[in-house]
Amino acid sequence: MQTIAIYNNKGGIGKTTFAVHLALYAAERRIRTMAVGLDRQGDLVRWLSRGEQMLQNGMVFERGEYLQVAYSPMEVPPGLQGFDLVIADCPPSIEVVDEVDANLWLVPLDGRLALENLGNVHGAICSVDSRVMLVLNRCDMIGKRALAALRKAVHQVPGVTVRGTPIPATPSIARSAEYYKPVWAVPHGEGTIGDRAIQDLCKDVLTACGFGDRC
Amino acid sequence: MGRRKNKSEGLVGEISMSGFAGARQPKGLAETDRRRLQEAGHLSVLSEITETEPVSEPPVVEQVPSPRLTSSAEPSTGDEEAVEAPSAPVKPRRKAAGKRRRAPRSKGEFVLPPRKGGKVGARSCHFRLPEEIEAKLVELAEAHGCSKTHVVCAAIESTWAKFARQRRRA
Repeated sequence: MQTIAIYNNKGGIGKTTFAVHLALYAAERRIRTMAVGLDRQGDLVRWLSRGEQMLQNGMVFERGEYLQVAYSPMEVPPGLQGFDLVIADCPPSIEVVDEVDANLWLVPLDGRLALENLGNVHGAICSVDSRVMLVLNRCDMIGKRALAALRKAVHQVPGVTVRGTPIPATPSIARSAEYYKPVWAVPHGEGTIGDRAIQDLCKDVLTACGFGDRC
Repeated sequence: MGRRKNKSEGLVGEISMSGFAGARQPKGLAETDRRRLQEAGHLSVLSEITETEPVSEPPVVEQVPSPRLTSSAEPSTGDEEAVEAPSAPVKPRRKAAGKRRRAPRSKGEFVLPPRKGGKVGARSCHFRLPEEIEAKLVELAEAHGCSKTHVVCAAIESTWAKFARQRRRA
C-alpha cells in the first residue's frame, strides 16, 4: 500500500485540487484508493461527496467501487488495509509532517510568492525520510524571469524531485471545484489544457508510486 | 408569494450556509467511521488496540537529597532556604528526608541505615549527563539562544517522530 501526502504549509495553493484529481484518476484506473481528508475544512469530503456528505454524521463513504473517502482530522487512520493507494490531503500545518508516514510527499508550489513559500516549506520537507515531489502550480501567472528564478531555486533543494511541467491556471480547473467534479468531467473541460496538465500530473505521480502499468 | 427572508439570520439564512460538521472533531477518525471501516475489513483491529493502549507514565524516581547540599563541610549561610524555597524539586526532597529521620527519632536512638539494601542510588537531585554530552548541550543551547531543557525536548521530539513513523510502518 502506497501513501501519498499532499502538503504545503500555505493554504489555497491546490492541495485539495491535486488530492481530488489524484483520487478520481486512480479510481478510474481500478486502483483501490482511500482518500483521507486531514484538513478540518473538510473540502476533500465536500468535493468528493458532491457537496452532500458534509451533512451526514459518518464521514466515511464510497464513491464508486474503487474509491473510499474518509474524514480524519490531522491523522491518517493507522491500520488501514485493503487499499492499493492512500491519498492524504494535509492541512496547511507543519505539525502534520511528523504525524503522517507517507511514501511520497507531493508539494504544490503556487506561482505567487513561491520563493518565499519554498523557504518556509523547505525546513518541513527536509525532515521527512521519504520521497518529495515539488509541483509548480499556476506558474503562468508570474513572469518568465520569475518562473526561471523559481525553477532554478527548486532545483537547488536537495533530495527532492521537481516536476518540470507547471500546472497552468485555467478556467476548467477553477470550475471543477464549483461542479464538485474532476476537470475532465466538467462541461467543456475534457481535452482542455488544464485537463491534460492535471492528467499528466496524476500519471506522473502514480508512476512514481509504482502504478505506471495501470496508467 | 415567496418566503420572507429572515433578516436576523443574515447571509447564513439567505444562502442556507452552514459550517462543516466535523470541524471540531477530535484528531483521527470518528467512532462511527472507525466501526464502519472495521466492519468492511479496511481497518485492522490491532490499530484500535494500539490506540487505546494507555500511555505508560515515566517511572517515579524517589528523589534523594544531594550529599553536597546536606554535607556539613560547607558553611551554612542561612540563605539556603530562601534560595531553595521557590524551586520545584525541593518539596519531595524535604519530604523524603523527613521520613528517613522520623523512624530513629521515635525509637529514641540513632540507627544506621541497613547495608543489605544493595547499592545505594546516586544521591543527586539533578539528572546529570556525561561531560561530552553536557558540553554539546550547552553549546547547542547557546547557539539557538534557548534553554538546555528546550534542546533536550526538541531532540526527544524529533527522535520520537522518527520512532513513531518506523513503528507505524512495521
